[in-house]
Amino acid sequence: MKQRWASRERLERARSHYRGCELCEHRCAADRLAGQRGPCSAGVATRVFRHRVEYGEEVELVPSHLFYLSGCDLRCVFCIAGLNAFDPSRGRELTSDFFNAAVEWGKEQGARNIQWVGGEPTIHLPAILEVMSQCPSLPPVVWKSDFHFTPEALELLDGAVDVYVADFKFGNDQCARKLAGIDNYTRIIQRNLIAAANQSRLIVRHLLLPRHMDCCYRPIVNWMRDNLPQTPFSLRDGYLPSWRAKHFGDLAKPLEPGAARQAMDIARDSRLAVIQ
Amino acid sequence: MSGDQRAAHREKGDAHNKNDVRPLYLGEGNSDCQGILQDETDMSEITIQPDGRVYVFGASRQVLELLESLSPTDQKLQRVLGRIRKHQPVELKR
Repeated sequence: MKQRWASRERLERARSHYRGCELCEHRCAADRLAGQRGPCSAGVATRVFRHRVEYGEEVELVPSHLFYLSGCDLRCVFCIAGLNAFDPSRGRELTSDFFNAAVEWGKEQGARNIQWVGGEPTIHLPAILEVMSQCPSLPPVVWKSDFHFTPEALELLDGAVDVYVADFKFGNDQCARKLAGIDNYTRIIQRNLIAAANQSRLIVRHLLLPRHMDCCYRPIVNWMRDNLPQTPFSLRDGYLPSWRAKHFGDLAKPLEPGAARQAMDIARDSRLAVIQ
Repeated sequence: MSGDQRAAHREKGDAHNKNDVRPLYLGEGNSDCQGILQDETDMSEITIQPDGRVYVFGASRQVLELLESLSPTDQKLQRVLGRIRKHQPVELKR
């Protein structure tokens, strides 16, 4: 069955980013077809380095069949996926044959949806739309993203995604620059959160970072309270030092005891729609 | 990992793809499983901190059931297990 959103025009518009990529806000305009590479290093091949049915996601989503794609537009020093996320050459190529068979396998395992994760799926948006458009029985689609995408990318996803899961990582631009290597973070993610909430169901996720309560967590809660108070807010307290976190003093250790409870109290005092 | 090694990984992954859609995992360059395809379906990563905190990444149903047997007070775990039972009561190993 052809997906209603999968028009030829849309798929061609998505593919045009391979000639001048503006899928994320780096807006590198790389001609990926000609071998140029932007900050994400991605070419035109999309690769799955892991796929499995998981139960650790938000309760309303599980069991969820996660497709982990290699390659990312950010370089978060604490990334739990590390090299698998940053090296887009890892994994097996995403093809329609593989995807269709994998979807059926996931259904057999009881998955209620498929979930695109990374790395960052947005940099592979053309290939993802392509395989989804050719899937005969596509389950509900969850798009787990860093939300550093452009409005053009979000427009391409309109109608193709049932639930957005946004990683709201940092509460200020300084931490975003230092820990993920990007500029204008708050302006971009706040714009995208508002737009996504108007387009589809949105869950905002925040991974508590050790000793970033005042600089990151409180500003995020305050912004959510003022702008998206009804949007489900998923507080994740499972931070563990990964990748290069050991080189960043505050991030070299797990979350301090008591921080998760304190954060939960702050969110509830602000009347956020906290979910688990 | 060298470019040749990476290419070999890709070839193995693509060859695997032709016959089998079960999950695979391409081993890290610094691990014992370098170059070996692994099925991660039932693999969860568990870290136990010295203070007793338990972290689970990529929780499988089996691991959740194991954790339940320890009678934890974690509310999310109870809710997830409740959801599993609701949708897949026959497959639960009780």
